[in-house]
Amino acid sequence: MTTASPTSSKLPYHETYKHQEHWRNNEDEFEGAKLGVWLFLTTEILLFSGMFCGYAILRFFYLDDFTHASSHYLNWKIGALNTGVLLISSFTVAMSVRASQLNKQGQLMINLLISAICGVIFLVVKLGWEYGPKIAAGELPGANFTYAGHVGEYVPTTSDPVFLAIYWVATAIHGFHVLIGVVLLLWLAWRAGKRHFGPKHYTAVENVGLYWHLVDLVWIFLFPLLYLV
Amino acid sequence: MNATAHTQPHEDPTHHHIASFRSLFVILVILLIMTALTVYTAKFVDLGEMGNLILAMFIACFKAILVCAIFMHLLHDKFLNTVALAVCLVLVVTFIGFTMIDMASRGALDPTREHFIAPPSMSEANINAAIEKRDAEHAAEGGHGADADHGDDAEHADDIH
Repeated sequence: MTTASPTSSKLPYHETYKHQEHWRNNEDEFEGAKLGVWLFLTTEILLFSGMFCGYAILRFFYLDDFTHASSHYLNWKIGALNTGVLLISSFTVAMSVRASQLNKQGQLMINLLISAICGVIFLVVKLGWEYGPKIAAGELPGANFTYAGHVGEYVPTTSDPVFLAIYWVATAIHGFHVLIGVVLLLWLAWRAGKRHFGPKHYTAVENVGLYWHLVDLVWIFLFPLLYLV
Repeated sequence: MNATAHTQPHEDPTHHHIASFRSLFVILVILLIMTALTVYTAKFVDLGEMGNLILAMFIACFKAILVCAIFMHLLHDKFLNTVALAVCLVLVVTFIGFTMIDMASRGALDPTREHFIAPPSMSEANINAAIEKRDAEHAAEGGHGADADHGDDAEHADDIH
């Protein structure tokens, strides 16, 4: 606290936070909320595992073509850049939880903002350098596929729209999750500015952090499957 | 609360484990190295059709374990959270595993069903139309004229892969 005067000092939100009525104490509420988020994360894992299963089935059907399609339509360097960006953002999110535990409000704010910025970088790279050129060239999923390749070079096969279908669906749903995560992180940063978080109360930071780590985890699996093999 | 006056670096009023900067940073470095390793082995080392895929998945699983245990604090949390995740993973493995068992044994009872035969699809028509359009534009610009390889795509549709 910056002032010791009893008449002007007012404890910040996180110091005086009291749990909701149906919990015994703050600790139970925190652990209950965290378990709830873990259960939600399991539903998210199952959502993405549906797409991974679809990928596995389609890859079974079109093994060689997937490798060729992957190397022709996707740039692994862009994918690797996005992977690095998300890994760094996972680190800064974990650092923000640590900062709230140690009541380092400045660090908390900076780490939340860096995480959000990393998410935005991910989306900008994806939308601008991948989705944009793909839409312009007609490399769209399924029936929307209008890409013809270049004269004398790569000739598209009928399995390319299938590969692109799984690519577009998986990365778009993942990108939507990244967007939601960015919004949540910015919301946290706004609350952190109002001193809502501290060692005694950082539930939201912890839980949004868990969500963000899951988004990173999904990408850790998506990247090699789509871009590298 | 004065942030610089904590005498017990890893305890706080709620008795939660506080990750140290070093542990978090070391994990980040390991994750980045693993990513580089994945890229390197996938792009520059040939391990056969499935070898690259399996190695990449092993590395990805290792990274996932690190993220879950340290970044998501599962190592220092109540075990119930890990149980929730473990049950979910059992379901995922069952889901994908049984599907793969089915895929791999398609030809066991009826050999004619061993390979997937793609039905004629709109995508083939789209591809042919796009190539014809491209060739027409190319010819209109004074190129050497359309080549005939778009005919191959119609043949590829029935190929058994």
